[in-house]
Amino acid sequence: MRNPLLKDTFREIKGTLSKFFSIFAIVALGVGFFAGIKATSPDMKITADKYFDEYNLMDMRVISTIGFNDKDVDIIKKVSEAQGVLPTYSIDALINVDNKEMAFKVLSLPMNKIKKPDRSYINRTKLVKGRYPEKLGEAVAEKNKMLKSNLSIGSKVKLSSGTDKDIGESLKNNEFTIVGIVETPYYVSAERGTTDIGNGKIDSFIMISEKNFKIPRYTDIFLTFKETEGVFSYNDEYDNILEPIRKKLNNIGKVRSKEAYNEIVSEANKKLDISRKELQKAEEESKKELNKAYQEILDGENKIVKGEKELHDKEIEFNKIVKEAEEKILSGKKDLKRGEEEYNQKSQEFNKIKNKAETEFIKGEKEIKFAEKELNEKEAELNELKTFLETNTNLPEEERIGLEKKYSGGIEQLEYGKRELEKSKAKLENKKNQLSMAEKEIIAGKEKLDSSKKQIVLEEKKLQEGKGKAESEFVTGHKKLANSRKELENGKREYEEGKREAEEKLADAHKKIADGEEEIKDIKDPKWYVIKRNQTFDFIDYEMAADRIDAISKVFPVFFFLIAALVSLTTMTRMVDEQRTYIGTLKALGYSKFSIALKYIIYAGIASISGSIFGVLIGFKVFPTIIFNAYRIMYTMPSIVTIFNWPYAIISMAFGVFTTTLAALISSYKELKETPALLIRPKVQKSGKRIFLERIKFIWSRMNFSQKVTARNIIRYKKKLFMTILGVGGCTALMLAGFGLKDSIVDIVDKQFNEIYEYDMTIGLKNQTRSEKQGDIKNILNKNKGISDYIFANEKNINVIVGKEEKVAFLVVPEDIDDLRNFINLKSRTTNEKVPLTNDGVVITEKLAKMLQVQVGDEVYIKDEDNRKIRVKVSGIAENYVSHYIYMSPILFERLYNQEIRYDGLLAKTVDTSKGFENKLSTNLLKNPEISSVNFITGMSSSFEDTVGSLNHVVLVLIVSAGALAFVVLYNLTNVNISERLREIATIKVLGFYDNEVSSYVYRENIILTIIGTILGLFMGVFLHRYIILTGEIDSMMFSRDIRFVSYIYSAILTILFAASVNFVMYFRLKDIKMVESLKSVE
Amino acid sequence: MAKYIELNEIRKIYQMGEVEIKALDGMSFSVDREEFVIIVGSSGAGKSTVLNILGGMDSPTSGEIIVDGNEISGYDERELTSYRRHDIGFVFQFYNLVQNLTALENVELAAQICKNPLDSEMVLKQVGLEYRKDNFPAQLSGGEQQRVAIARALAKNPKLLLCDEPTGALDYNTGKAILKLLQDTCREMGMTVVVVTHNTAIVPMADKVIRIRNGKVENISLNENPIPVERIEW
Repeated sequence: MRNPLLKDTFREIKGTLSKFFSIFAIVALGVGFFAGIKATSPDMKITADKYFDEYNLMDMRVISTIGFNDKDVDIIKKVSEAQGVLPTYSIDALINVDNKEMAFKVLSLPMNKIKKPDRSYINRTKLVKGRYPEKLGEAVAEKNKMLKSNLSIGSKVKLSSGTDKDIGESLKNNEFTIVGIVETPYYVSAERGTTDIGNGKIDSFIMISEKNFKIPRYTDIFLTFKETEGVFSYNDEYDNILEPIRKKLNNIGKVRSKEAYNEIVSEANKKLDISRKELQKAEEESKKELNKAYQEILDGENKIVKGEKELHDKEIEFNKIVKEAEEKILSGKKDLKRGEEEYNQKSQEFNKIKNKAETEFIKGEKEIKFAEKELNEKEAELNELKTFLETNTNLPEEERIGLEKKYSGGIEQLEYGKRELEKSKAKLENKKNQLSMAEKEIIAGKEKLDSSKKQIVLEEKKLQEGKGKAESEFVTGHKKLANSRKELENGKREYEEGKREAEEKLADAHKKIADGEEEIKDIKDPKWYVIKRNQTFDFIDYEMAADRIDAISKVFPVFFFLIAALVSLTTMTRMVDEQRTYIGTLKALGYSKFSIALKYIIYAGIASISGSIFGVLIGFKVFPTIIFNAYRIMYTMPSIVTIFNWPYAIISMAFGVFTTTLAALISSYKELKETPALLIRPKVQKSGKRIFLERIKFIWSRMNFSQKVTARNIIRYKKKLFMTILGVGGCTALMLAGFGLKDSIVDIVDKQFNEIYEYDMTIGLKNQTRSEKQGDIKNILNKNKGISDYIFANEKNINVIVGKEEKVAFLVVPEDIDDLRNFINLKSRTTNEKVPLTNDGVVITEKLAKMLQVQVGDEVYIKDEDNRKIRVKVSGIAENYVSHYIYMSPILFERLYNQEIRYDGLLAKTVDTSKGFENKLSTNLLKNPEISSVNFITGMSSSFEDTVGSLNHVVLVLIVSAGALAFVVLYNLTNVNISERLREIATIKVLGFYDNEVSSYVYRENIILTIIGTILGLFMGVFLHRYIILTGEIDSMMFSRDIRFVSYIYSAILTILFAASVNFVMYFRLKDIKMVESLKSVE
Repeated sequence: MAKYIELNEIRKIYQMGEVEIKALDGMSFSVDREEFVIIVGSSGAGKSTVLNILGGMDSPTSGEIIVDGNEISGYDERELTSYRRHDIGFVFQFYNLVQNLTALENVELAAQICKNPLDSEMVLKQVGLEYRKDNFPAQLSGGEQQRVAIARALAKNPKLLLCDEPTGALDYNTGKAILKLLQDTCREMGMTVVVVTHNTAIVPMADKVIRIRNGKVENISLNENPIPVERIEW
């Protein structure tokens, strides 16, 4: 330190530490912000790349519509570039977590490779907590910050397939205990993809041992390549390496697909053959059965006919028998009659005889009786004689003999008489007997007659009975027959039905076979999809996030830096100005210009170099870390790796040092040009000037004294005016741009998902639907009360070409061009007028039109996946913010493509947008086999909101930095302002101005300049915002062009607030100004 | 009889690190109403300090100052400001005009803040500058600027007019003219004036001359018949 000039320089620094520090600070702020923001995007990518390398993220993922077998794997392994090849399994499953059904991706862990540094273990996991599975029933889960319900160690989960199939077909185990928490570079974003089970969105993943999987084919093959080792994945070089390999694998895929296709088709054919045979058999069988049934019916009929005949015969016979019997009875009756007649005759005769005989008998009896009496008398006489004789034994004998003779004669006579009587008696008796015999005979005859009569009656009765019985029998017989006939008819009908049924069944079977044939025809070639690492959602999503930062850092930090440079330049210039006398003295002493200027160069150099270094060191650390940590809410990533980004460090430092030091050089050179004599004398004060305002008398005269002073002051120092306004305005502009950027990004969500998309959900269909099949789906949707309106639409990826420009977009063909307006609001952003979709041309979205430089009426080429190029006129340009769309009417589509339009999805409106309702609705819809996916606008918008939401933090960083800059700028400028006017201030203090009068004397100017600067800054901010958006917009997105009104308010208020706080700090400085300053000589 | 201005044993000690500098070391003097006083001394005698203390720009370490019956040595910051505002008119060596204000406006700047100011234009006329009233300081010569400064001080209608080397930055003739102006206007207006200078040549024009050295009053002499400035040569 021999050199007194150098000594002086360092003393100067020491003496003006606050000035030195303010230059240091502003350079540090400018450089740090610029370098830090600029480095953020590269740092983010570097961090990701390092993470990917560390955990061996696949370079490529191959999937196929039908999976892979070992042969596929072997062939892939033979690809020369391949370093690691990992075939894995994955399935989608439902898990009930906290009573909510969630869809999980179930991934396989190659257990034998987990702990080894095996290059063929791709997409390695980072064990955050716990351990890896050791048993089949164990799994590891992730800790996803965006998920509300997480699985934790010890949680037990039960998997279900979410389809009709049993999960047991795919997995050995379906119950798992979570034993560890992992992170994997495979899943970096919060999105886990879509599925066709559950509510259509994968919520999270678990990983289980690969031994658990029973599915026959691998689902994914991951690959890494030798060439990509050490290559930065976000560079073109990386893609240049991958692209040829992708093509190669694609070709392999084509070949293998064809083979697989043949296998599948032949298998399907085999199956079809079996069904054909089965059908044939079934046909024969049914024929046989039918024949048998028919025969049975015939038999039945015969039987009935026979039965009828028999019955008939029986009837005839019966009738004959009845007739005979009747005849017999009739003849019996006749005989009986005759018999009766005979009998009556006989009996009459007999009665005559009887009567005669009886009379005779009576006579005879009388005679007998008489005879008997006579006899009895004679006997009595005899007996008397006898007794006389006996008594009279002494009688003469004559007499006695006479008497005895008489007696013996009498006895003889008596005896005779007796005999005779007896005889007649016998005769009578005989005759009597005879009569009774005859009577008996007659009675017998009568009896006989009676019995035959009885017989006849009996027989008649019998006949009658028999007849009745037979008749009832016949009736039942007839009835029976009728029944049988009925039965037969039924049988016949049944037969007919059966026949028809069988025919139908067979026809069905035929149709099925035909369908099967059709299906075989329809079997699409299985397709391999070869996905490069830089084509995966997670990779791109993260890259986009980093690119957004990059986009913002294109303009914002530059502008920031310029403001800082401007202020450091002002400060430095002012410093040199103040040292005028000193410079003159040195010059007078004979120092060379260079050695005098060196002081200021060194001063500025030290301040700016140390400021730059400090800024760069802090900036590289702080800004990337803050921003990245904001992003880590959404991305599962390790801590950021901040590197010392040499290019940005050098650029920012060089510029920071250059502007400050150059300012010192130029202003000192300006002073040095003058002669020492002039320099030593006080600088000719800049004359006061009348300002134009004074000419407007009615304003000027109304202004009070200090207002006039302020007005003059403002206008007097044009440079200061310019600097202040620019500095303040710049900060306001930066803040407005920051707020506006936030608005632009946040507004996308609202504008895209609420204003432009009026539908609430999209439904994906499994198959492209031909118009005739739409009815089924319409039925399903009409029945669903949750859906209020819907429209069929086809959406496919296409490329739009104008000249050499080629952009990716979605071609959307709605079912009905008029109905479309209920679902998508096609309108012009600037005029708000509806953009109609016609059959003459397509409506394309604004950003696409801008990128392709297309106007209404121009023509564009549309190239589809089959590389067909079709020319079409643009009939309208519509407002749109996310992705690019081309809307085309179905009629135009069919005309251009010469093929029937098929719809692969629907847009629908729902009656409710609550989470619960949507989950239910989507679960419901996904049960339908035709529906493959359901997506809700709320879900899309909220996930998009999350994505852009992290930008809020970034914007906050920008706003805070801009605020800090505003503070520093205002501080600096006020500082300069005060030190320039130190004498004046001291003077008015001497004049007796109170402190507040002094400050308002100084501040009024500041306040006015701040307000002017703020207003100007708002205008500048609009342009800056527009510029940032135009330069920083991502291709696939259009940021909203509007800045919300509150953002203007915020930026203005913040600026004014900063100005106020600077003034507050400065108040003390003003108070401290010594009045003695006014006594000093003018420098 | 109470003096109009009275300084009693005024001490002002600056502590510069470990060194005590006694700028004023027990200074006492008085000034009568409408008196024209010149304080002379060489550099470092304590002229500026006494001026600062008289002018209310600084407070003494000890001692008392009474101005028109008010003890200002005990004033706080704000009272001192009011004192400057209403009671003191100050004329600086380098005029200290506000560059951005015209002559008239510079006068008004001071006039607008005090209780009963004189009419600015009239005062300006009094100092002979009415024809320059709309000129900016940069357009005026040094003498003219000092006249404006005097007008500015007078317009306040102060109790005491303090002048710090009013001719220090001026050439001889102009200096003389300014001193004459001071002398004449004070006579006319009955103003009490204290001029601080190192120029001993002008002391004959004063009613009272206070010579100071090393922070102390060396001697005080009264001129029965002050000589008009025109007759003084130096």
